[in-house]
Amino acid sequence: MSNIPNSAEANDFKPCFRRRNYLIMAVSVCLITLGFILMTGPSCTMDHFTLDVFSHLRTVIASTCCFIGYLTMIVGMMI
Amino acid sequence: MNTKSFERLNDLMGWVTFAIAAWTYWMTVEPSISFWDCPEYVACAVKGEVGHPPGNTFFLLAGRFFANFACGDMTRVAIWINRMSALFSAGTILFLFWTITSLTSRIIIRKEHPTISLAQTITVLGSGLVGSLAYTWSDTFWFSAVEAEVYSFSSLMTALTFWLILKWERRADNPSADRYLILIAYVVGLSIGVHLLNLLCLPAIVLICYFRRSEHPGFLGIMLVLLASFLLIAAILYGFIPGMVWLAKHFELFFVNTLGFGYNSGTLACFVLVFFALIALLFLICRGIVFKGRSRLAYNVVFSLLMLLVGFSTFAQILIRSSAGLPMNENAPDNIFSLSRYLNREQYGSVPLLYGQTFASEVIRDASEGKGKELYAKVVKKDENEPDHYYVYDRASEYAYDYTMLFPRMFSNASQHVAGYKQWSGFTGQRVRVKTADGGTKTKRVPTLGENITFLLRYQLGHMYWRYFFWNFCGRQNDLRGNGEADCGNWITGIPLLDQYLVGSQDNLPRSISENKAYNVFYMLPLLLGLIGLVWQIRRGRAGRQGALVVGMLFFMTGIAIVLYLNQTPFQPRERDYAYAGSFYAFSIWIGMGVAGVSALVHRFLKPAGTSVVLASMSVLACLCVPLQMVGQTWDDHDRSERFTAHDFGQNYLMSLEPNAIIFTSGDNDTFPLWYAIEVEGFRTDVRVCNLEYLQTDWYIDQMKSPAYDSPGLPIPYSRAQYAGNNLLYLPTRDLHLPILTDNILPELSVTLKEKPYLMRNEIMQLSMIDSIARAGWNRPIYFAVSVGSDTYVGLDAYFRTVGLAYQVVPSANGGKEVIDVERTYDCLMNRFKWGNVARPGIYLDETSLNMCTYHRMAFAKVIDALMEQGDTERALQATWRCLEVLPSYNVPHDVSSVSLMRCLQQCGYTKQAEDIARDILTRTDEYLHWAFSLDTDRQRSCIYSIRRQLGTMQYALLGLDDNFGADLFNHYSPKFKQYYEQYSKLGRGQ
Repeated sequence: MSNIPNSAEANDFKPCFRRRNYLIMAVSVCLITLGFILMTGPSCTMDHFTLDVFSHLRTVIASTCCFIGYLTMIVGMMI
Repeated sequence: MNTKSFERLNDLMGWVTFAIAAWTYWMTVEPSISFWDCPEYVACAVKGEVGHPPGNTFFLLAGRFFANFACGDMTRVAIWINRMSALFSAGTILFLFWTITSLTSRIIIRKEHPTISLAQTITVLGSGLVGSLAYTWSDTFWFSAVEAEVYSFSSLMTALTFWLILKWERRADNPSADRYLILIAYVVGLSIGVHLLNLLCLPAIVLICYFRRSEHPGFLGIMLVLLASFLLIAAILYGFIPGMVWLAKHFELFFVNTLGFGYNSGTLACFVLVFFALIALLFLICRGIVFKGRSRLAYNVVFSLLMLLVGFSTFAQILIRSSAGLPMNENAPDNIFSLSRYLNREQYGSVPLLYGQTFASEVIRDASEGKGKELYAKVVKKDENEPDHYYVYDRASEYAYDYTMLFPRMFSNASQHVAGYKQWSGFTGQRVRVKTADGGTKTKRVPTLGENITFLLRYQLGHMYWRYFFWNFCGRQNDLRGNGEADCGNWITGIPLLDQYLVGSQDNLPRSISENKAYNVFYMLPLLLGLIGLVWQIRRGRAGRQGALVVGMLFFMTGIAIVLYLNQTPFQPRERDYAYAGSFYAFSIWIGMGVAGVSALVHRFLKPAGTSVVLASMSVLACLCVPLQMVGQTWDDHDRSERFTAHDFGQNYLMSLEPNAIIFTSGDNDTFPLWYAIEVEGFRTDVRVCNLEYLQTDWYIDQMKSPAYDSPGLPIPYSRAQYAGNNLLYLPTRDLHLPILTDNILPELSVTLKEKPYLMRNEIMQLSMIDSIARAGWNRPIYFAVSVGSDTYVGLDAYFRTVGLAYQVVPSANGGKEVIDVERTYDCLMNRFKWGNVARPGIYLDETSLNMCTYHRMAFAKVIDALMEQGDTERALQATWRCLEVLPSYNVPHDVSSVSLMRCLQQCGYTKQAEDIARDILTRTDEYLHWAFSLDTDRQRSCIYSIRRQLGTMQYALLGLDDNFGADLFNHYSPKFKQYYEQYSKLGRGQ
């Protein structure tokens, strides 16, 4: 997102967000995506139960990563 | 004082109120899980599992974040999620404070004089303080603030949104303030993943924008803007969310069925594509290539859409976690088709709003049935290497009804609901002629529009909304769930004359009312203050009227509009006040303004009494007494500290069971605490909890057949293909006799169901499981929780044996008598069970906790009776002492089960203690009946179930007395009983 220019060459219009907003928002999207990727993995089936679905990485770290990502977006907007 | 220092004081005071609220909630938070949905939420948050529709993803992510503070101690995660609610609720209070001061100061401070005097400062900050503290200590909001429910978070989102728009309003002339609007879009997007309630504040927000932007706001403009705001809600609710889902469904079908990619590939592609398309559009707008001249508007709209999408993306969590095949995976929303049904809450059925069926309508079965749009599901694979594919398992049926009407409020045809409808609406109905399926006609009685309106006014609005409203601002009778009885959960004021009119005589109140901790009276003071605030606001010129309209809109949308939308049926399983906390929030804004109103009155009438600073301070101090009086009343019934009932009683169910057991449950409170114990604390992971209501669905049968933790899959003999989709939904039967053959050593077990026209899918599964277990030589113990309804027993109650808090199904008929496993139950009660701190003096036990205590005391009574019969008086006596110790009568009043304790004590020679129990039961029942029969006949009739129960208890206690024991008690209470019994019979005859 950071390549969206904030210049007014073509337009009088100045968006309310600037480069640093876009940067932080991009970080936020990355954190959220990373969190969701970490959440994936092998699954339980009708014949087989695996505790891996509750591994530290897939529950604690992944969820926390997403949550922080979502909060970062607010920072990205208000900074 | 200049505005800068006022702003600083305003910030400071806001945080002071936050601190007061946070301290209040932190001190009173429940130390572990609570009843109802909370244990489910805790388990879902902590382990990333999938709870009931429509999913609360962002809440779960936040809950997981707060659970981290437990530092890995799984017994502490629940309190941390409760504390999250506490902090979020305090955050709501913070924004409420600033909202009140913002709305009040704009009226008090004139544009011509941008400075603010000390007296004005005191009034404005006093308004904020009184209004926000009144809400802090109000009944409904406090209830949700100390447990792991979504309502605290949801109200934080609403308060934040409302505050943000006020923030925007102050800076709207600066283009960089647009970011507030975009942030609101993001918060709304996120809040879909908390609770949809948040959307309801949009009309108020749109009104604020309109008043800010329009030069001459007028009636027509207001109407148009309100219409637009409703369209906006509809656009998000029925456009954005289903639109995204619709698009994703088509992508998914194309990617999986046509291109042959794996499940969810299309959904992912769809969201990525939309995301980047919006970014590309933004880029074009910034470059001035599209929407030239309207760039700012276009940019804001597209960016808001993008943020709505990012906020909504929390639902990826559901898809991902559900695909992991978790043990708790409600509705298995692991693909976009089931997720769509999950988001639409299809398991709860649809409710007609403007036009539709009545309770007297019948479904017209015709040829168009099942010809609607295709319903897709994952194909049942024959082997693992078969490629992913969706197949059409059914087509939607849109049912037509033989009689429909405008604005149907009484639509459910469940027999209990129909009885409630008739009772509340005074149903007589009108005759209509309808067509029958075979082409003929018949007449039937259907409710009139007037009766529907009566039901709306008396039940849906009066009983299920205004009653709650008055609980918060006038007073509350007790915490017993009310269905219109004179003695349960009514609103009162504390002013004797008024209460006499509202609920009947307040003299000689029975202890079940007067000693109930939720007996709270505010003498209508908060209500009056709020009304003063409303009037004051309206009378303060245009700014005041506009503000009143905005707050009024918030009040309406989060209260009455929800009532209209929910279209609630009678006999709700619990009180629903939590759904309307938003409108009590709006009213608290007016309570705050009441301070300004009082201050204005004082200034007018008491001018000579002092300077305006003195007068303003006096008004604030006087008004501050209102919230302080409230907290004096409400603290004891919201203080859940030290209470472990849900936690311990959930575990007690599990402790009743032998290793490797299966237990059938049916309600929230005998299912969710057990799930929590197994999932979160890893307690008795060998047990399988099987909820009979879910067992009607194919996804739940899948999960029951799968192994989970140390519990092997349940022995259901059907294959997935046999029950998937609509297969095996029910089995027509009549007078079913099902012999279950076992080996020669054990007797045959047979189930006879007389007059039952069909077996539902869950009943087929239950019986087939019993059959499998019996064939395998009873290799797995199987139980029903004592709290499930007898309609779920499918004839197995003939083989029940009570063990602790469960009935075990055993291969020996009990001949219709109650059989108890004395040894195991005794062991459970004496050694295994935990008691949730019930014996702690002063602990608050609400109705649900007390009901659970009664189940436990009943188990004691059964064991004591059985031991006495065996002649084992020593152990019977020990059990009696144990019962009196862990379920003491000062917290759990004696009931009918206590008679067993009384008899045991008497026969073992403890006459005095036995007499104490007898006296306690008799005085309590006498008190209640004396009061109940002092009411007028209609009110007596409303309490008829309680009267019958109390009479039964009294009679049972009297039967335990004789000439040698409790003779004076008998002589004193026996005539009274006879008199009450006569009154009761007369009441019954009058009906």
